Amino acid sequence: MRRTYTLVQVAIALLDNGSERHWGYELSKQSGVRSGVMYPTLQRMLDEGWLTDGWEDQSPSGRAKRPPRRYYELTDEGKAALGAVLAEARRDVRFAPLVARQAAWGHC
Amino acid sequence: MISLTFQTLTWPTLMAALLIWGFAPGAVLRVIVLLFPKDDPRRRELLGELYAVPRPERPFWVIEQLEVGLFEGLRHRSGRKKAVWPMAAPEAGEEGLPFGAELVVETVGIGYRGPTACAAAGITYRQLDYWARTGLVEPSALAVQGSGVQRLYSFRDILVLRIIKRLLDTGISVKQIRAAVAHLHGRSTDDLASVTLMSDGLSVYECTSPDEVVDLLQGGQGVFGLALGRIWQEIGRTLAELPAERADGRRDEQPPPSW
Repeated sequence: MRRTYTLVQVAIALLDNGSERHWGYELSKQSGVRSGVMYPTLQRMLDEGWLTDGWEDQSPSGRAKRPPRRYYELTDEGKAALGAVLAEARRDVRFAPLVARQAAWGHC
Repeated sequence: MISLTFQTLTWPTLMAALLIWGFAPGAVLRVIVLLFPKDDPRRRELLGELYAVPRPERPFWVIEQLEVGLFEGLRHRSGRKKAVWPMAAPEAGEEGLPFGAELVVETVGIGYRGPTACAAAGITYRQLDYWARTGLVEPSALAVQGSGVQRLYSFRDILVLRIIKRLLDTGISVKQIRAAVAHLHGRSTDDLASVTLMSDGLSVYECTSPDEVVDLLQGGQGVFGLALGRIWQEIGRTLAELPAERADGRRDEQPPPSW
């Protein structure tokens, strides 16, 4: 995938809590990427093998009216690849404001 | 001009539009997702996501999905047609044949269209399209159709697609898979049937005899194995029920599914 501003934004959001399930809407809120760009980006990461997806379990919530949501999990490959993306971004002036913000998150 | 605007934008229509958009974004979204191909998980995904979006934001969120639907959904639909109907004919001798010429002879002009290849390999059209664009697996069989040449997936292509799918499912990295596929390219199709791919989840190893499999297992490097001969049979059985294309452009019995 091309190293775009969006990709770095999504990488930061995904790596912020690397082990958990990620949800599309929350990811777009957290990273500041428009949802219209977020879902295609996630799809490309799936194709690349960086993410796996699944559908939430419906039963426990009991609200059967709502369709199940799709979630994404980072694969080991994805963690390595996105880590590399971030490492690259740190050396790139274009991404400086993004990476600085991520460092701030890392402290809290 | 002004009178025209006033005529279409009468109070009842404006109210109806506001009501539908503002209070029933779900209904609007249900129409929008129809832009995506039928098997696209995005259809279900977006419907599920809508309920995670706070109510006041929903109409705006739905508009964004309309934008994506128009550009992505329709592109994939039209991309599908492009893959099915003849593309520019590659020059003979050019790198249009990734697996080497002997393969086209082997498949005796039988090839399968994209959707059929997807069904037999158990992958989505998006994956097929993506892998073709990134050069992982490209359609290697050629069929004459009208004035052009159509590129189709050969039996071997589908076998490779299936192998990739199985490896991906077990969490092997795409990098490793690319390496394994590049390695398999050098093998003749007959050889492939006797290969067992072993993996420890990180690397992929090729075994051509039971002894090698045992060696790997003893070394702790084989956690899971793929006997290509078995996959071969599976695909053969699946493909027997799906439509094939012939090199001379005539169709086999059933027409391919219309998209």
